[in-house]
Amino acid sequence: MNLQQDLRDTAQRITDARRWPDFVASAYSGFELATRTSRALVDAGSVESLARFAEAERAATDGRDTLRAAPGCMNAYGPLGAPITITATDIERTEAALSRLADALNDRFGAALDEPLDAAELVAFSQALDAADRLQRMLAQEVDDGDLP
Amino acid sequence: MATFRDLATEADRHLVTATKRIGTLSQAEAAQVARELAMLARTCGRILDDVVDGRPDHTTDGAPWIRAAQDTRDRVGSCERQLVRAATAYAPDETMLSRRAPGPAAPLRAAVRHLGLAEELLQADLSVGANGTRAPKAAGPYGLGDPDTARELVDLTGRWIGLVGEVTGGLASQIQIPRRSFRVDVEPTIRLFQQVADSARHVHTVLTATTGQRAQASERLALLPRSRTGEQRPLIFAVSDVNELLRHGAENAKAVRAALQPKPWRPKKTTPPHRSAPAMRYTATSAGSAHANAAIVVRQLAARATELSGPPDTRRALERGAEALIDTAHAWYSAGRAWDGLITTATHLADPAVHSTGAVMKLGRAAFADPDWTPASRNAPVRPAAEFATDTDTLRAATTHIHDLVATYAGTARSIQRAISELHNDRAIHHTRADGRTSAAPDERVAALHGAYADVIERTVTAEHWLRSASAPGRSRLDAPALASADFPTPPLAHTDPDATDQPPDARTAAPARHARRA
Repeated sequence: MNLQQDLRDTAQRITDARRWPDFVASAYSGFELATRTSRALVDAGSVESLARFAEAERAATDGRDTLRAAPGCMNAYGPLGAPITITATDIERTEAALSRLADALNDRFGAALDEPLDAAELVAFSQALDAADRLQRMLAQEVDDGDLP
Repeated sequence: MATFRDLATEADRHLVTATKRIGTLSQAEAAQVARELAMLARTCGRILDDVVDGRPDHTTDGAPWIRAAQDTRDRVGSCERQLVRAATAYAPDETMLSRRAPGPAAPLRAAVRHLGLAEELLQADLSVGANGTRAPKAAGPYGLGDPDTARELVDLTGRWIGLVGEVTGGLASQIQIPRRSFRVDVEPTIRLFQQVADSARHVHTVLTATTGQRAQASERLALLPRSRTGEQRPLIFAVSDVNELLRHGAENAKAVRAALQPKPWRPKKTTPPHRSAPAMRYTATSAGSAHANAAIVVRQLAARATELSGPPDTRRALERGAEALIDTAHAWYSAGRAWDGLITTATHLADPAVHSTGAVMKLGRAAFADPDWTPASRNAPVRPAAEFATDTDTLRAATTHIHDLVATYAGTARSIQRAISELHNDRAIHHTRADGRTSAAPDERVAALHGAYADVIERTVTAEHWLRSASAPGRSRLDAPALASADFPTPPLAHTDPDATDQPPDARTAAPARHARRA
């Protein structure tokens, strides 16, 4: 399966997840795939785009780590998958698919914060939403100084 | 490490969500929302206290927002008490309040949590006298003692209290609709809510009218608390002069370096646990982006050297320097990734992250013709070569600033490498195992981390060499070996890294990790 399709399918799984564990697992996969994809974009992109893709990678990694450390989630997930390689001609399409994944993560974590959550879940999901939000804005160019801690 | 602005921005986001969530509420939900609003009002009151305390005579100090803060403080306290009363009257049975925050209250609770932490940060900027009186630790341009910062805090607090008024007003309207279904007489509660709403709106009007601004959480608030963010961190985002931006970028790099100096690395037992590996990843990513931006600058300097008909050696040295800086950027990114899955509680390692963004931003705004550049900027045009230097002297000065930055970051990498070794000897670096438990990180894992920084140092040495050659053309050695390192004659540059010569040989000569791009 090609990378763009994989990104779109993962976004769809996140959007479609109905059970809580399915959502958390698909969101973790989404952040993990976003991490590897952003990393590949860092390697494939021009020097002008390095900072943007590196920040995107960091946001995706933060989201993944947040979910890895979330209550009840720690043991469920393995290490990073295989590295991804992207050619220069694929950068734009990959970015578009990654943006769609970031949108799905952002939407679902935003909605999840309206659900009944205990304090630990609230913190984990709030941080995951923040990471998804940063990832989305890095890709969509809607960012200001405040996004840079 | 979060600053006041980070937390306030996050709280703002939750508050916006909260205002959209006040629909038809159950009795328990309405009570829960009222309790969270009370906590929000309490936190706002504390922030006003932090701003007002320690100003010797707030009625005569000439700042209307300080007087407004003092004058409205009691009314904010009253809002809090009335909200608690309303919540208690509304849901007298504690069992009605679920352990879980109901939907409408959840974003409010999140906002309160973030603002509570933000307020705690403010306290770090206050000293407490023997008689319990509090005062800003220092006057000056940044921190709680700064009048402009105080004004912005008052303005923000006014906006938050305004939101308390809006949400409480919405609450009063909503519970009038299903009032018959409630098990208590709601009339007194509705009156209380309406009083709170009116009172909070009044406070909002008074506070924001005196501050005369509609503030977004600005750069000033990123400098709070001053005691943590460093007293010398300048506000220079308005600076547009390229050489000034480059000089400030090099200064930021020094601040990153300086933040790594405290020793020992091993955390004290009294230090609260603080996972610093993510901060190290952040520092490394920022260093990578700073070097990437530096590469763009140096590439343009090379073009400018041609335009100025400078010595060909200078142009070639700059071109090779730009290539080496790109390699160094990737090496820093790889070093950041090498922290993946590792855990350490060495608190000093978290400190550099506070300063890391500065160098990225200054170098980025120097490299690109966009005064609002951020790493998210897409397709920002690179600044024309002619803007980087008017003559060979300014070109050399710009090159020297970049060299300073690179040399300082090399020192940072060496310090981190040394810290990694010390922490590993103390078994203070852990990793998460496949079964989810943590244990001391194995030697090979730490060796990879150490090697990633060795790779950074190796590539930095190459970049430093070409930048030195370019800034001192009379001594350029284009055929010099790429890893001439510290043995290479030191040119008369403004900055030399004091630690560059006190490193153990293995810090400079350790076998480099295989670079991710070259693997």
